[in-house]
Amino acid sequence: MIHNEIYLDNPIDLMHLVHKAFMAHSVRTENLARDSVDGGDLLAFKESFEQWAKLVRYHMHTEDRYMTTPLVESQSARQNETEHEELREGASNMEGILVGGDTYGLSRYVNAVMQALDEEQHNEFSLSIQEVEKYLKQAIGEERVVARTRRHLYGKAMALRMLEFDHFENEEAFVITQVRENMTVDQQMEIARHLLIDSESENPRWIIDWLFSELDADDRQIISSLESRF
Amino acid sequence: MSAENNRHANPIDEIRFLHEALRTAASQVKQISDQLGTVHSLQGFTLAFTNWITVLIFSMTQQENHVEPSLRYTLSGKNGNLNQTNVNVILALSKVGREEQMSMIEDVFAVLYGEIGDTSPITRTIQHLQRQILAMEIAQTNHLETQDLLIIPILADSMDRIDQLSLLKNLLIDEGSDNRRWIVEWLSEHLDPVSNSALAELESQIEDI
Repeated sequence: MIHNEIYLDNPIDLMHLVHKAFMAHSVRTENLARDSVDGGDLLAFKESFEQWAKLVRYHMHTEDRYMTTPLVESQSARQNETEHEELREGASNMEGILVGGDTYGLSRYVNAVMQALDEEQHNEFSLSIQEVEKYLKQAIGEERVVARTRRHLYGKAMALRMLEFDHFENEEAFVITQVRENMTVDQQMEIARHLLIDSESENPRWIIDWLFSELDADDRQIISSLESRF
Repeated sequence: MSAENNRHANPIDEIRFLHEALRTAASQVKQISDQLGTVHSLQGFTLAFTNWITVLIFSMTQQENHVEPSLRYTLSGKNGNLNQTNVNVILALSKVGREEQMSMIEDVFAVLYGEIGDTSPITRTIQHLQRQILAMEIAQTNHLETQDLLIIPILADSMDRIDQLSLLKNLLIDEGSDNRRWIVEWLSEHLDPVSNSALAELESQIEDI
């Protein structure tokens, strides 16, 4: 475990705690997706995912703006921003599935089926996407269409969680080290402040509230120490 | 009609043995992959994965070469319940499922023999392996569901008992292998005693064809 002093010397090390909280949240979210395959409540997954998406978007936006943009010459910083885009895209895809509802599991196949049909039929038959979807829905049955969507959702949740873990690993290895080496304590404190305090929100401490819900007492104490210095 | 009579009337329904065993094998591989760590050798995983995939690839090849042509042939003979367009949709769905799985198998082999090679796996590689195994299990579940719900019932309705047994023979007996019973032997390892007894009966029927 990293001691308090280290965090106070290098406030950017706060990032390890934030990542730890994200990882705990993501594993729980993925487990909710897995449970939904076996008939669990999709709403629980949806709520957990939406909270994650809100948090991660704020977190990445803040990092891009205050942490990596100033690292003008850093290739690692640019890579970090690219990985953020991938995560944003992954989050948006998941939101697309959730908006698509329980028939998404079939819809995702329809384009591929249409393409295979074109190859098969040489345009001999003309079917619309809606006709193919309707036929498959009737043939497979609503219940199994729902099950397909849930399975797909679980696969996507796991993929997104792994993308996130890989990103954290890269960021800690290549970006955080550069911040520690190239930014003053005051500059690091400024990044930490933006990461923890959302000045544009009615509740500026909403991120700290979330961190406190995910972390243990020792970790919470480190965050409180940092907060007291803002 | 009793289940016993139905089994004799529609032997093609017994393809469920193969589907059950494939699901079990996928589940076992996923369990092994979930437990992998950087201190573990991949030998056990690779063995279980190869064991599953060998049967899966054979099964998909036989579907392409025998099941789907049978379906086309059967339905070209005017099945009253389905028009040609719907048949083409079902065949397209089956083809999509097969291609999706074949592509995923290549991805896993690329990780096993490319990224990892002879070295110990790192956490990130293991996680990617776990993700791909889950994706494969999902793809297989969907594909088998398509077979069970859409294709097998049509064949059961349209083919006579002898033709069904003949088709099953293509799916369960590998005439191109030195050990032509290797699929049946693999199935026996994955089925319970009751199913094994029914499988033995089925094998004796298809050997008479």
